[in-house]
Amino acid sequence: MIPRQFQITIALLLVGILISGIFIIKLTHKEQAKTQLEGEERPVAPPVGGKQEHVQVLVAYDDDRALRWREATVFMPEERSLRAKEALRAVLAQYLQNPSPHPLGKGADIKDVYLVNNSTVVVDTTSQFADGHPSGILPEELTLTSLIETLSANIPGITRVKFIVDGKERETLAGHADLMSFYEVAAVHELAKEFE
Amino acid sequence: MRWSKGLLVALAAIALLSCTLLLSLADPAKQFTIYTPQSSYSIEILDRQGQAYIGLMELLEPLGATGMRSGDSDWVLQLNKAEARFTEGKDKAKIRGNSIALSGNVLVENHRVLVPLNASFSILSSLLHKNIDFHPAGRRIFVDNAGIHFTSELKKGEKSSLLLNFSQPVNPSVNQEGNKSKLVFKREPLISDITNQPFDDKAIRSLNFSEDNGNATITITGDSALHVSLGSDGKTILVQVVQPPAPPVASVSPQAPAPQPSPAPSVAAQSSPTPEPPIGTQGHTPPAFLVMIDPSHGGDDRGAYLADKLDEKDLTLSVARKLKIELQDRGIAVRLLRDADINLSLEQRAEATNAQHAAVYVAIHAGVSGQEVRVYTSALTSPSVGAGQFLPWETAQASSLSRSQTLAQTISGELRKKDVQTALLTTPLRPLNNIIAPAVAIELSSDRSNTQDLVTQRVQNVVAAAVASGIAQVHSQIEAQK
Repeated sequence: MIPRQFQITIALLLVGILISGIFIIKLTHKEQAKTQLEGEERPVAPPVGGKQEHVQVLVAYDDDRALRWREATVFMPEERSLRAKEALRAVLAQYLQNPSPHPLGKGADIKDVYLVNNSTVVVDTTSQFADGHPSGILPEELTLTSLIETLSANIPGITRVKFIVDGKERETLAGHADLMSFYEVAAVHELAKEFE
Repeated sequence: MRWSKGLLVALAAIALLSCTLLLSLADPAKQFTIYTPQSSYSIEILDRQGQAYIGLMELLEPLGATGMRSGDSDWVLQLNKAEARFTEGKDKAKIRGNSIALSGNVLVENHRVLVPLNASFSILSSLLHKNIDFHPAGRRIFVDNAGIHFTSELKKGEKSSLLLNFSQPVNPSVNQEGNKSKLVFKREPLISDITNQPFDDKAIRSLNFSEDNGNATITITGDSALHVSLGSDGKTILVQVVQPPAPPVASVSPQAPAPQPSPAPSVAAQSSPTPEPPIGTQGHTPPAFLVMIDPSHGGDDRGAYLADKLDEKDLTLSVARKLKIELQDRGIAVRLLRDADINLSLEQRAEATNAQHAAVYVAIHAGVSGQEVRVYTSALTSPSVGAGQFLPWETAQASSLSRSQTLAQTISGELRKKDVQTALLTTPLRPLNNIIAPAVAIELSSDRSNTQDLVTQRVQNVVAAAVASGIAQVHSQIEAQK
């Protein structure tokens, strides 16, 4: 015969274990959801070295149809194509925060940046960047202009930029802005003046 | 041998003549005109299964019908809180809960619902609950007692004249055919109980009223060529006999006639033996000034998502059709790159525009970023470097860029005159860069919370009218330069 006090203690311990277990499971689910959300909405932290730098990024603001220079602090590597990639991701990070001045689709990111002859840049974006991009002449134009101008400001010497999506050419970003042509940086600079 | 050669030449000449004659006799496109007290518009008549059909949304959209959606084979639309349901393959529709006979089956082609032309009366009267007057022979229908009446008054004398008085301002096109003057009313709901009125006068013999292919025509027959002039208020037209000119003393090149001093603007004082057909119906001769309207997107490409059940592709087509009517009203030849919900690649749009030698290209777009109408030109800056007669595809627009900018500024000015918030911008939009002619893109934009504004007929009509005015101005400038 087990004494009564032992029975009560064991029962209390079991209840405590049960409550702790439920709490731990809930916490785990919450953390998993948070991690998943961050993974979808923001570019993954760059797995590169380099030192922390202040870079100028041109950010689009839909509400007042404007492009404004902002300063962002990012880890910038030495190699030019990696620097270009990090500068572009700094722009996207602005758009993927909540609230966003210029919302983009979840998972919008830069996969790679290729430098040809040190003057031509080919930017490879994720498919989510184009598939989830709001359709419209203005939002598409603002996105491309902000990215090209940011590239030009942080990677001196580039003259032409082309965008590909998931490694392939695509006709338009989201039905409007041309992705088949190479963008002349000088022409885009003039374009950006319309939104100052 | 010589005889057979001559015979061959004669046969070839006869064949050529016959072809020319057949082409000249070819029927113009069949159209159906709907008149309301506020406006009028014409839609295309299609021949299906030996019966005349019209597009249902083309008939009802200008009246404010919205929200057409489909189930498997059902199509439902709303007009002034009334609901109408059409089922593909059925010869009955349900309007305001009542079953209406359509005198033919409902057809669907590329998401475009077609109904028999003869059903237009029952559809409109059931939906609108207003008086409808249908003239099937003339392909005209009058909503809510829309109508312009006229009276005629003959003044006899040495120089007889006929004065026509209209209940509202009119602006007909005038064709001179020998001793007959034909006044063609394309937009005005002109009606008359009299079809033929003879006059007891040698100079002006008769007046005839007829309705055909969505138009009304007054034909005045005289003893010799007639001169037609429109009164300054647009409500009177004076028809007079032209004094026979003195015989020419020397050969004169067929230039435009010398201007005649007249306080009223002359509609058509020419008495050329072969009248010029209306622009846009000139058989196989391409018009000198053709406007190509591109209702962007279509088919699988829905464009921007504007609101519940409202895609950019549908709105662009609606605005494009309105712009077409506005331009036709101004006597400008116009074509739509698509007039149905079909797939059309960007290359195909540019190729068709360039192949037709369009004088102006206008792309229509819509979006949800700011409450304004934006007028875009290409963002190209570098001049196009061609090889001989060829232009690079990617920069074909460069040679027309300055004229595109002039056109955009003129359209923007017209929009401002109508109190429309507007912005002039450049864009890397496709296929602007591939168009040889002056090219602009018009984007109707609204805030996400006000997207219903874009659907309203008033907004679309104002934008279409302003864009058409801008194009007409540029057209006039080009004509003046010529």
